[in-house]
Amino acid sequence: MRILALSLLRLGDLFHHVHLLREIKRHATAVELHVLAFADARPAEKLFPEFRFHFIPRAELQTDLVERHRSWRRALHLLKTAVRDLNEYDFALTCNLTHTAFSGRIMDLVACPEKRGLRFEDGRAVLDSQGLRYVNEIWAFEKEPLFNWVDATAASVDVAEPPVLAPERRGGAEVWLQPLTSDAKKNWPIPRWRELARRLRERGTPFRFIAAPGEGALLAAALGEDVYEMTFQALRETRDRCALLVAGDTSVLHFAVLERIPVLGLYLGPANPFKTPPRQKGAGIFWAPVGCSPCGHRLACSQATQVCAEALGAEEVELAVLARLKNMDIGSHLTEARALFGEVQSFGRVHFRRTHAEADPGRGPGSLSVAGAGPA
Amino acid sequence: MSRIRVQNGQTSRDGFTLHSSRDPAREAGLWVAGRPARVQGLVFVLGLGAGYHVREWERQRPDLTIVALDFDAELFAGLPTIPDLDAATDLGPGLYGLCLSGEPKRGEALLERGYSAVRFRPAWSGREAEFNALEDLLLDRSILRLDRELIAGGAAAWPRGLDLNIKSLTAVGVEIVDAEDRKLLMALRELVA
Repeated sequence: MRILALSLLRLGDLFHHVHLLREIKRHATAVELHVLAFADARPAEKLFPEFRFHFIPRAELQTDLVERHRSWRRALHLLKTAVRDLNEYDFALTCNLTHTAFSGRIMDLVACPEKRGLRFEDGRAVLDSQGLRYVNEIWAFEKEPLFNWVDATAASVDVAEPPVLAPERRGGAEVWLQPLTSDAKKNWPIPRWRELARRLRERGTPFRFIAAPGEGALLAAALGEDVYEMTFQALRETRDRCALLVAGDTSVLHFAVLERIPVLGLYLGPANPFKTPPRQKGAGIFWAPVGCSPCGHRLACSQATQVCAEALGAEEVELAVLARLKNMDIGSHLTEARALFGEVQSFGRVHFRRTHAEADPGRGPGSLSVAGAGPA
Repeated sequence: MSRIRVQNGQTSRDGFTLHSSRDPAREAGLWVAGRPARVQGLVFVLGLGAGYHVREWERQRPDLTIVALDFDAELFAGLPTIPDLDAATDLGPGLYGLCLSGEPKRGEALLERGYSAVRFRPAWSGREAEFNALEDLLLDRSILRLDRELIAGGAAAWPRGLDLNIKSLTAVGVEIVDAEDRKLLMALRELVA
């Protein structure tokens, strides 16, 4: 039985979808699972050999469509060829995990007896299940929805919610810090990373900065620190050294979750901790609940300065890092901070401690004190 | 029939607010800032809401003829609607138009003039399906009309300022009659919309 899943977003989103893909595979017998993704997500092909990937060259299509000297006919031909190649597989089921207009139109082109998720049929959008309507009409407009994106998508394609993964401690001692994301608004300021590095060094906590291939030199110059460029494959091969990964809401964070590396997410700008939290039980999340957060992905920052990033200090992140490494509860230490600290629960929703009553300092095995963020 | 309510400065349709409830003027400013400068001539804005975005765009681009389209007459109360929009657009009954500047004359065939069509998605609430259909219809018309021009004028006749970014797609020619090609074009349009 062949199943096709559409994951037509970015690579980080595809890493979210891997939870769903594995769940689909777990529940179907002798299933051959194919994934349709944009060519930008090509690195996933080697990372997940259990799936068969097909790619749509989005950037190439867009160039053909908008550049005056390029031919729209080529774009039409490329997409037509991609769809015809897909239709040769005789899929029994197609699931759209993406919920975008483009993916819905592609669903209209795929020949398949059973289709789930957002789709167009002869040019008209079809919303024929309760889960799908919930995602389309309610979830998409909520800032703090009850269900995260993976669970909401599972409902939209009538698939069981995949498990929230538990991290594995493999004896590594290093804290890996990934400062850059794909969106400048999601980035924590470089001076804060520098300050965090200084604090960790003072405490003798081993750490290393990591970056995507091609970004290392620039980042190293900005930080004044060594930076290790790391592919996803390299991250997988060296994961045993890592005790904790600190990163924004970016592909590395979600890939680390799949590799069961403990993570701490810094959710800034358009990153929404209620929609796309790391799917890892106990994962830490910082989020500044300023009025404009989370902002729109395509919009420029509406504030004079990036207030969500400014609300998060290096000492708070350091405290969270140390607490994670020592397996201690932060308790009420951060309830005075302007950024909220939360943890992902076993059912996948992040819980932020917004009051002292919620932050029980007696829960941890010991107390922890860091200059600038003492207990309330 | 939708239920329109204008209360405390909020315009809603079937319970959905059609603009930012916090700061509609700021929302309008951001939306206008996102419009490409290359847009020229007649522009159909799909979705009226409370009209903040239309007024702001008209203020910033007085050179444009902006026609805001929506499906509920109550939204246009007190605003200068286009007389006999059906005759002007041939887009079907139950559609209303607002034009703040350069108001088209009665019966003037707007679609013959060449146009761009842009979405104001916040105002689509409660009428999503109708707006999608309207957008498809406008796209179809522009493709058919421009196909004739293309044949006559070659690449130089390609339209400028189609905000759906179908600059190339509009040159589809006869292939548009193929159902699969039409679906493919609709998909491609989403990549550049």
